[in-house]
Amino acid sequence: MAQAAKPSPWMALTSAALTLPAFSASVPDQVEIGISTTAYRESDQNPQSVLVGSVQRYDININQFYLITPIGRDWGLALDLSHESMSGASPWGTVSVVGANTQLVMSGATIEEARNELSLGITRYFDTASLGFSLTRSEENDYNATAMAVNGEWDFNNRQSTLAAGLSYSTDSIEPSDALSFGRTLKQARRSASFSLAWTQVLNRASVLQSGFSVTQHNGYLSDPYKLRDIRPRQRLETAINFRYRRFMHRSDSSLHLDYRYYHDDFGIGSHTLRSAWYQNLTDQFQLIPSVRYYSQNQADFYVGGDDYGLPETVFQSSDYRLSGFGAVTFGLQGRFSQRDWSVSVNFERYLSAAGYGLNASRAEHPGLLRFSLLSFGFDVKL
Amino acid sequence: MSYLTNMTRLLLFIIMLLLFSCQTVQPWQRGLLARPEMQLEPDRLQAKLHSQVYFSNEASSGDSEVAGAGCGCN
Amino acid sequence: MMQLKNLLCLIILAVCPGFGLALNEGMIAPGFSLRIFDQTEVRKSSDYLGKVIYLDFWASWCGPCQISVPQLIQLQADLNSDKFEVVAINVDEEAHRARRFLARYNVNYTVLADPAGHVAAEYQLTGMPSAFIVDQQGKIVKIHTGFRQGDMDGIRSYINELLN
Repeated sequence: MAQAAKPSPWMALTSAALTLPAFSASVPDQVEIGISTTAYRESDQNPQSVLVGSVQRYDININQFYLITPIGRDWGLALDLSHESMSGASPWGTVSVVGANTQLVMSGATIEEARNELSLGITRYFDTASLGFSLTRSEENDYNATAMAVNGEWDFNNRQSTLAAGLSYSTDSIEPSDALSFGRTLKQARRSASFSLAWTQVLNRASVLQSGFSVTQHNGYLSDPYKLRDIRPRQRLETAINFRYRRFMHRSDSSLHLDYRYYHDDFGIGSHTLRSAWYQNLTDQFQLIPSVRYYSQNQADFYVGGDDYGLPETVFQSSDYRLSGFGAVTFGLQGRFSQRDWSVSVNFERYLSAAGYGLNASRAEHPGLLRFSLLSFGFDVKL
Repeated sequence: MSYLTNMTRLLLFIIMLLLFSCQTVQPWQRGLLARPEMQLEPDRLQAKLHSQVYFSNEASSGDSEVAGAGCGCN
Repeated sequence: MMQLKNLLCLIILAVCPGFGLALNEGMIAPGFSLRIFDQTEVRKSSDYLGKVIYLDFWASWCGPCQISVPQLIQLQADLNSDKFEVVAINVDEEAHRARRFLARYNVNYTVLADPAGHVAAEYQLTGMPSAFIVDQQGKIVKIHTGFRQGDMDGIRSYINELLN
């Protein structure tokens, strides 16, 4: 049983514009390669919260690779590959009984599944601007997606300001596994189109601020076909504004990163994300990076704590924990060892979510809220 | 939702303050800004990973630590 | 209101750079007097009259500088140093970073130190790296900003023309 409403690769493309060194459009100097392997482990459910099914959540191993190279004088190429293998169970639905806590109906333990993604981007660099195009393809046994994006960057103001704009489009299709046996929808599709704009400003010799805005429209099948009862609108309009601030601190030889995003969509969900990281140089070669992230969202308009089979199928409803009101905190620590042309890193993160952490939580906490840990090892080299 | 409007106003005010403080930085004075840890996204793969992980587990999308992400499952 | 203030900031920034007269090809190269990197000996711009010089402003943090350095070493090796010299001016504020960068290469040309960026300001650099080809009479004949693969061919032929 694959995880619900599959990862769409179009997200990659919307932000491709911001992948480039954001405050100057320049051809890559050298060939650069990076690899990373990550173990992602979701904590088991409390057995008392599970009515039927597995208590185990998802375990995912993620392997990533990238290559950036200049081509001739004016062009650059970027290749990204990703392979994930996952196994585990996820919530199918909820059961609410008056006077008792909501309980989960979980899927059974699953067979191992894999997802592969490939992304290729090519960029033409001009004197103070660049224009790029990229294509991404993602495949899984029950899901596939194709996306393309165009993005441009323009430096002005003595290269102190950069304006980046991106446009992307993707089509996804899902064919749920075991559709007939479980009475699931057979094949569905959706399309997404997105526009983003970001302005990066060098504030002084030691700090920079990026302000961005993005809007996305989804059309088609947006429900989760693996849930017992999940009926969502066939359109979704999302907007987000975000800020990223970077500041170098002379006295401590460190850098502060501060990111904030406000998100809003017409499902009625609004969210705040605040992330901070502190890049501390311990020696010329070793860096320690603690980070903390706070997230809060309110519930979707059609969110229900317990699946209601009494409602007709024309009424929107979903008991997906991802649409409930909750908050989450992530603590992270990364260590990086760098030499002239290469570096290795280890990163550990722990994510905890609870209704009580949120600013505008759902009245009853969803029993399926997630806790996970992840551990990554990365290596990159310039050739 | 008035706290939201107030928050937005506060944010915009802070942004304006920051922008007003901007100074001219000459091309030869960009050494600190060129440091890897001063980039908007120092770690490409971690950024993509985070974007995917959070997009899969939360309702929101649209750039936070994101630079090239991949994924969307809600 | 926010847009107006942003616009104001941008206008101010746009107007700021460009103190005095803009430096163009055809003008006399501004004079300088700088210490050789990591030494006490001083070199003056007047020391180079009679030679064609490739005045290259660089820093350890500038990516394209890593492409240009080996090619400049080759250029200096190929041409008679009585008639042509590469003069590299380093603008790193932290000398140890420039030192580490230089340790990787067998540089066969003079490297001068301009950590405060005064000479860089005189030459009104618009990007990094920035190079000025100065003829035997001390006149700037070519300004080359940035450095990409393949740029050296054009630079070489230009210099060869000047030498003949």
